[in-house]
Amino acid sequence: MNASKLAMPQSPTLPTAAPVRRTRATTLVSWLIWPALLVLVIALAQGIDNNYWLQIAVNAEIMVIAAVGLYVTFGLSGQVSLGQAGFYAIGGYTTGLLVTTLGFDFGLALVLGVILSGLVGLGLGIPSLRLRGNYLALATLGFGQVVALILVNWTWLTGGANGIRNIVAPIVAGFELKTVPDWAMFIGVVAVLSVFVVTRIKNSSYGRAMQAVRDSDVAASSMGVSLSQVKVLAFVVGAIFAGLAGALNAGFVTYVSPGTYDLSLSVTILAMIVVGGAASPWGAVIGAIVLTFLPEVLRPVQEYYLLIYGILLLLVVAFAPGGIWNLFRLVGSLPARFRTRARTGDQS
Amino acid sequence: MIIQPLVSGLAIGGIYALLAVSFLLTYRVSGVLNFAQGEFVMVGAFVASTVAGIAGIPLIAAALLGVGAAAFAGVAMERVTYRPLRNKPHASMIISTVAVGIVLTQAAQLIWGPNPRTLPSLVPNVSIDFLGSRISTVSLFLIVISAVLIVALHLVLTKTRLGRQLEATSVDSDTAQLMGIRTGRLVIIAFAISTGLAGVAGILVAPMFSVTVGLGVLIALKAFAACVIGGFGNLPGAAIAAVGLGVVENLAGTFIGTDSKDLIAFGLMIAFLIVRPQGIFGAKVGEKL
Amino acid sequence: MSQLAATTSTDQALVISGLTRRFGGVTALNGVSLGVALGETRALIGPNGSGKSTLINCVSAVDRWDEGTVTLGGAPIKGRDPVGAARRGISRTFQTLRLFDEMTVLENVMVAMHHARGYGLFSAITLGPRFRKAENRMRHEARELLALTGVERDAERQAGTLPYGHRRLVEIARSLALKPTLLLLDEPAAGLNDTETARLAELVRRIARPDLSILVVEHNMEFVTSVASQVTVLDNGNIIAEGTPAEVREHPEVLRAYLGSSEDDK
Repeated sequence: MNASKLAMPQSPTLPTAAPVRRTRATTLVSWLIWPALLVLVIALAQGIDNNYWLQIAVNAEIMVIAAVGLYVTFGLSGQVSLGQAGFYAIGGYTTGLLVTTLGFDFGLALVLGVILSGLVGLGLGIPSLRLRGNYLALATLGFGQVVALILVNWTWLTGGANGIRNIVAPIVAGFELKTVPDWAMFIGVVAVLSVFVVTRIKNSSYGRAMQAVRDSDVAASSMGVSLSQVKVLAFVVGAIFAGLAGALNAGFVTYVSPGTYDLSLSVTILAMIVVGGAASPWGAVIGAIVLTFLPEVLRPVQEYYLLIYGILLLLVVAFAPGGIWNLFRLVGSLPARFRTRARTGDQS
Repeated sequence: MIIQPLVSGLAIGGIYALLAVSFLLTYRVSGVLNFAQGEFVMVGAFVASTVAGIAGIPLIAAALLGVGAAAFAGVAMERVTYRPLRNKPHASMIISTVAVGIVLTQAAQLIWGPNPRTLPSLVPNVSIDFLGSRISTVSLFLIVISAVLIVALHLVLTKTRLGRQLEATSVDSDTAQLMGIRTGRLVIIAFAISTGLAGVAGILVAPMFSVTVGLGVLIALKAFAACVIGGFGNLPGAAIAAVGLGVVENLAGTFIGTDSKDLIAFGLMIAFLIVRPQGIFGAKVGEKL
Repeated sequence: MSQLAATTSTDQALVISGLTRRFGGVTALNGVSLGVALGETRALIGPNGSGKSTLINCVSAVDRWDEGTVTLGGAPIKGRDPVGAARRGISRTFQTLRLFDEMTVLENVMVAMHHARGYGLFSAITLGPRFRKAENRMRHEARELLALTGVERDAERQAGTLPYGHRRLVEIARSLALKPTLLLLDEPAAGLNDTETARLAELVRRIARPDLSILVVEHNMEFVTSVASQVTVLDNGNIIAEGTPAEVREHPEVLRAYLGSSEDDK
């Protein structure tokens, strides 16, 4: 096709060698990052000999899983969920109950807990489809409250305020995680896999459809994208990862109790994405790590931590809507921008 | 036998209703779903209880100052949430109001500390006999004040020039602006009235519970639920649903047990979202949502 | 003569008959009947508020209608089911641009291929052969469409950052990615300068194929004359004239209804 004759943009087509090479380089980096991350989490698990900090690191990895899942729901498809703690609780409690009352292996209990979270997500997501923006936030808020109240009040099932203790079982067929470094390694690998899966979703047609629905639902549906399927899928993915995080947490700390699963956990998971940046799964990763370590760093001024956290959230939303990730990208793109400006300057 | 829980239910329902209409007011005029509404309940109660503790200041003055403080905080909130974010995706606004809630809670925690405070009721607490049941004057006072305020707000919104301007802004802000309505100022007024009413709710409930940073949280969540049950964008509908919710909760608490009392509100809310998202009185889920 | 035969024969791609759409007390479309043959480019003109956009919204099933039927290739289109319409081969652009602003231009075009992606979630996550093959094919086709519309250099740019004229072209590329049998262009030349409009006309003529029907809503009569063989004139929800651009231009009703108000547009 002689498209060039028709080309509307004024400038003639420049040789495209440079961009292609850069794309190839970025592709290479984007593949090397996965083995590198696996090495990193294993090195952290073996290298941090302070148990306290290793536990914080494991907590961060668990939050990475929950946050990267909500990235699909909120970052990709634009649905605000204030009920992730509910899914986290379902994952944790299901795992705990199956291990302690039915003597399941931890791995099997975890899989079932994740499946149940996903099913509940499906059950909540399908009716919520009809709800736009604000309404979904309310529905998920209500869902989180219902779960939190059930945890406290349905003592026969959930153990009430005491929760479920002693969730200790081999992962599968006698293979056991005994020490904190064991758990750190296991959860670290799961976290890396979670980020990988979410990145795959983002870079597939599904991810594009989710973003399309977020940016313009009318245009997306006119281009043949079913809003309901895409939104429910994104919501269920968020629920599944929250459930996975909850189940891993239950196994790691060996108990679950209702205090953990309140609205502030849901807000924290959402805040991780906002602070880290909703435009990329790496934003969710950064946000999860930053907000897990922040209270530790601010320990000397502990009583101000939540105030600082609230103000930080307020400032990021108003003045840095792209979050930390976007700041990184801006800094990273400065040299390239400078070069481009210099080159166009030369030509004119 | 049934009178006493009924009156208590009406009293707490009145509080839910007060918060529900205040919540809907800002939502209608500015499109902001204020997830920090409950924190203004706490602000009003804390300020009033502090001022009331100073010798020589009459209780009514303390109460008015509490309401004023809540309204003032609401105006400040408009500046940090609505003003910079009005053209951004609604998700930013939701997160921003949640953040304001965190900031207010933590600021209150730092200022007033963890110990609960008390705030006496504006009317003496006397039990009176009514059809063989003993009911408290505090409950009756709550019912009367919230009813009066909700009716007054409704009249202001439907009968006055300010009300018509607020309505115009809520229907179509751009057109309203073209018609010479200063929509920016109206949004501030809506925030002030809304958070002021939340402050009133705080001063009314404080004598029943004690004043803590968490005072408004559950009340606000119940008010959200009532808005969904009654129908968004329908102030009288939400108020009726809120009162009904208070009554149902209290009767259930008395006759079934307190275990599942709090579940009723959120269970109903989710049931409505699934079966009838427009609520009992709403026509249709508006496009604004 | 042959053209006349084509428009009246039964091999019409799009047939709209008796279409009525009311908004409250206002009748936006009043029993409109209209056909577009396979391979035909038909223009729909009319003053502001004459119902053109309502018609496009009905045919693309973004909106519903009160009476009448819309059929494509003989089978009826259901109202308020834009996904169904899209999968039947009805594609469109929007008068007020609706690109996916946060995505790249290439991704924008690829969204329209989602329903024909040919792989599942599992294949996407595990980077299966179906996924890789389909993605390469989609990427390649999307680049071709961007080349066709002349915006291939913008492929990796974020759509929201493009200049206005380019965004219009990306929308056309995206609508073609659906592989439509009926393409609805809603005021594609709005906001473009004369040079850009002329290039756009050239593009519309280029994308015309024997198996594609095009219905273009436009104000600019010069543009209409240069792309469309047939013109339908809508006024107040009624069709007041039909014919070649030359015929329509002379039509007394059209002069009265349309030209008067097109002065206002300028």
